[in-house]
Amino acid sequence: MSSKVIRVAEDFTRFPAGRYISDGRYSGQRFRQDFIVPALKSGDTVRIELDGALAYGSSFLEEAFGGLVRTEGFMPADLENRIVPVSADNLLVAEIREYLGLTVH
Amino acid sequence: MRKIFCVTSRGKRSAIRRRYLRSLLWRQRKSQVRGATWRYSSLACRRGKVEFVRLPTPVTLSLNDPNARAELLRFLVKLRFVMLNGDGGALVDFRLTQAVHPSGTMLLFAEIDRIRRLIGNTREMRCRPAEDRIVDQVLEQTGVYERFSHFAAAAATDETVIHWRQATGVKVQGKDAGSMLDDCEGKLAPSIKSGLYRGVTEAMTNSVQHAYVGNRGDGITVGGEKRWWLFSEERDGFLSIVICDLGIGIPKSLPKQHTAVRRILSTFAADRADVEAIKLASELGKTSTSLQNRGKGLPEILDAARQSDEGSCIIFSNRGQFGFAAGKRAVENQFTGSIYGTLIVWRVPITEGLKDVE
Repeated sequence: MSSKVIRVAEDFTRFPAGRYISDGRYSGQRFRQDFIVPALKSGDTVRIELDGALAYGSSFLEEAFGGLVRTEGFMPADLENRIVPVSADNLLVAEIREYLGLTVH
Repeated sequence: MRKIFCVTSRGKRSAIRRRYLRSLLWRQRKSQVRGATWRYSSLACRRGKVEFVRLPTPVTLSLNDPNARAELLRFLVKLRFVMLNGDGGALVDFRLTQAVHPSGTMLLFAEIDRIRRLIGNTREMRCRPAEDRIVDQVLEQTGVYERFSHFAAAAATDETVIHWRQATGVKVQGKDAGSMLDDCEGKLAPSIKSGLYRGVTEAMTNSVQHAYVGNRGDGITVGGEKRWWLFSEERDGFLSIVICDLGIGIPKSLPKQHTAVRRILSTFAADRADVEAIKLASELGKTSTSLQNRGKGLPEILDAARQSDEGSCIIFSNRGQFGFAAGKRAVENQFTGSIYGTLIVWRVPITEGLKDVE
């Protein structure tokens, strides 16, 4: 089973913000399309390390993660095993799970 | 107006006042800019071949005090009229201004910057610097003076002024907000820092997506940029961050795609409608996108300062003001004049050190 790791602060930006690509360079849509979806297509699981970025607004998170189900057509049950958000901030992880359509522990 | 006070007889004074008011009314009818109600010729002066209209700025630049706010809004109406309708230029006279608060300074800066971008170099907009030393330095540090032709001021040196920062953009630029917050590294509790970053970037997102979906209420339809302006100020142990857009305002953008919201707002009296709209937006789980999980922006904006007892967050939008002051004291007001846009002010303590707030 192959696994991909995305370190947001190093691979993408320390300053994620905005929903759509038209909003700005480091938007949720761009993160989803350029990082998460290719990683999902090439590996079984995607570990997303969130710490190191300044913070994540709800627009960014909803578009990046909620968009996987709404726009990209992934099933929540499939994503539950394949997307692994990692952060010291449990509330951030819970918020991402909510956008993925998963039960929040 | 000077004429009126020189005349001693009460009857004559009334007659002159009536004539003066009639002339104002006539000028207002002629004006294309809503709310222009002053005597243009009495303020005019000449510099070379260009006729300038002298526009004195208010004594206090603030949106919190009703009188100061009304005075600032009147000044902005005049400035828009002179620069976008008249033939000459404007001479903005800062000499009387004695106090600058982040909210008023932000609105003034945004309006001047917008006008400068609209007119380019086709019209002259000059200024006379403030006499108050601190006000003068703030106007220089925040880039207000930079928007005027033929004026260069000395760099700010005062400790209370050098920490003012400003940025503007038409995209959601997290780096601008992040850099301001990084400047306070070690002085802001981490949860407050991340909360502010979320709040500011959500406000930028709202500005880009929702604020400019119609014509601004000032009657000026040119332009079309989705611009925001950002200020930060560090003073007396507090960090203030202000973000502003000059769009249609929450009271107009919120009901655009929500018939339910429109219905709810129509039940409020006109003198409460704007503040109720902001309140409603801050409580809604959805925005004009009508999609699930959208619209957490405004609650997130307010939450940014809730983590500290001394923190405050006030949202000004059109005529409304909503939010909470230090000690979580609710703030709800509706003023008579509109700022024609949305302006958010966060104020958080910077003395809590690295310890997080539980």
